[in-house]
Parts: sequence; structure tokens; C-alpha cells
Amino acid sequence: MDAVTNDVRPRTEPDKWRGTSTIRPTQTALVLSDVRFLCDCITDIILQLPDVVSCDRANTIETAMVSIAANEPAIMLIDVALPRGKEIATHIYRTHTAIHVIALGVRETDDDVLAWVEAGIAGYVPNTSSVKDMLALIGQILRGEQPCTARIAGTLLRRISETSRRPQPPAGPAEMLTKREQEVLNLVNEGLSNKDIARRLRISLSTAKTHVHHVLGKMRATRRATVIAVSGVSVRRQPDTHLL
Amino acid sequence: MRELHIALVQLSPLLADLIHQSLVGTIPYQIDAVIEKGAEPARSLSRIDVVIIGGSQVDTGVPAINAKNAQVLSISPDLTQIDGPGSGDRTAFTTANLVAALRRIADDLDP
Repeated sequence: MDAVTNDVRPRTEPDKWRGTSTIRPTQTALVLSDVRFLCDCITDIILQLPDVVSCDRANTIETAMVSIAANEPAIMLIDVALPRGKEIATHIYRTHTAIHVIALGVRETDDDVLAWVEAGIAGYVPNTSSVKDMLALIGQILRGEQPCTARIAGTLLRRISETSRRPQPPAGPAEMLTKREQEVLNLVNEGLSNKDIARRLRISLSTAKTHVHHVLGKMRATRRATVIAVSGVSVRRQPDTHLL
Repeated sequence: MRELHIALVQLSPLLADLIHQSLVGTIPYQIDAVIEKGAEPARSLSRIDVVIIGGSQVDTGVPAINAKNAQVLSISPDLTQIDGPGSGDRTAFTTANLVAALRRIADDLDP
């Protein structure tokens, strides 16, 4: 497979899809797919959205995390056939609340939609959409809307109702972290060293070490690798791709 | 180069439209049929020059639309490769390679 890694493509021309979205000016997007054709096509199309000034492409979770750290995209489109795509969606939901994660090519069945919603996406584009629909949908998702079938709406309501009746479990280790420790955990997840964390947060190395020590303690871990929620292991794409 | 008549077979609507959009402005072409995955396949499309087909359906898709004179480009199930038009032709699935394959087919057709 051809590598597609962090190739930031700037907008070159205004075009036909303008007017379908309301995202703020000077925002960036990220497309995560291990299929080069999809990365290329979706990137070109996303650049047609108004106010998107650049679109980054990543073909692995590692390169996506590097891009997120560098660019803080407003929109992240994840190809639903990407191995561990739901894990990365959950990770982004928990650690980068400003990013709208959109699942691309979802099969609109109860199970598939629920699985992606529970992973923390802001919205989804069904695999039955046209390109024009997709752009309109992205605009709607960025406004906090999600068109869906009546059946999917009913399923989501039932799931919310069931969830609200369940007893709440005690807070997990991650919920016990302070805001600063959560920031440090995010940077550990991105693979940064103590020195890099200190530089990024503009704190001393010893302070960074102390935060990391506290994070490991609260997470009941002895090694950094244990607390990394999403690592960058490359996994072969499943042949049963939803887009195809 | 004369206009190519293309059928997109056993692809999701989204992927079919992405392929369609990727070809805009590259070669003269017309999408004559889009037959979705699982859709009723009985079609007679005598004018079709090229069938672009989802990989897992290669064996059944072409006879199903009755376009036996058409050249076939099949996309692998993991969306990484294009096979065809020749039996040994295999390239990465990119817009550039797809356009190149279609150009070769168009060049081989009678004007």
C-alpha cells in the first residue's frame, strides 16, 4: 500500500460545494483512512467546504495523532473500515473535545450506528450518501445536527433510556486525574517524553516528571505503555469494508 | 479520445460517487449505470465500454449486467488495488492509476 502520511494539502481554489457548512474560518480538517484513494478524494472534497483552509491526511493512527498535536483540526473524518477506528474515536472524544469526529461510510444499521455513537462521534455519514449529501451532512453535524432514519432515532432513544436506568459505576482512575494530569496523560498518549511534555506545557522537567508519576500512580500503572489508551500498532484493514 | 461508457457495479453509493467525482475533468466519460451492492443485477447495457466493479463480486457482476464486450477494472476488497484491464494488470488504487487504465481502454477502442 502506498504511504499517505501527514500530507497537508492547502485549499487551492474555491468551488462548487461552497455554502454547505458553517464552520469557522481558518479551520483545518483531518482525514484518517488507510486507503489512499479515499484519503485523496475526501481531502479534495473537504477542501471545497467553506472556511476549511487545509486538510491533512493520515493513513495510520500514529500519523493522525501527530497531525492532531500539530494542527488541532476542527473536523476529523475516520474511515469506518480502519482497524481500531472506534478506539481512536473514543480517544479523541475523551482528550480533544474541540474536534468533531465524523465516521465516514457507516452502514446504517442499529448495531453499526450505536457502536460508533457510543465511541463518541459527533456524527456519521452513511455509506449510501452521495458526495453532495456528505458535504451537506458534515455542515449539519458541525451545527450539532444529525439527520438519520426514524428507526435509528428510535434505537438511540431506547439506548439512552436503558443507559439512564443503569446504576452508575464508581469513577475510574482516569476520572480521578486533575485537569493538569489529564493534559499530561494526553501527551503521554501521544508518545511524548518527559522532556517534550515539559516543553509543551512550559513547565520544568522535574514538574513534568512529578505529574507523570502521579498519573501512573492514579492509573495504577508502573510503565507509561500501560496507560497509553491508543497506541499506533498498524493493523491490516478488514476486507469487508463498509465503503465497498 | 471518444467518450467512455462506464458502469459502476456492486459498489456502495458513496464509493461510486467518489469514483465519479475523481474522474471529473480527466477523460471524456459517462456513467451509464450504477448497480449497488446487493441490487437487482439483471440489466442489459450493450453500450458499456468499462465495468468498474467491487472486488468480491468480480465473478458475478459482469455477466449480471450483460456487458460481455466491456473491459473490466476490479477494485480489491480492501480498496488498495485495481486489477485490469489485462489479466496481469495490477496497480495501486489511486485516481491517477484509474484514469491511466481508462485512457488505455479508450485508446484501444475504435473511434
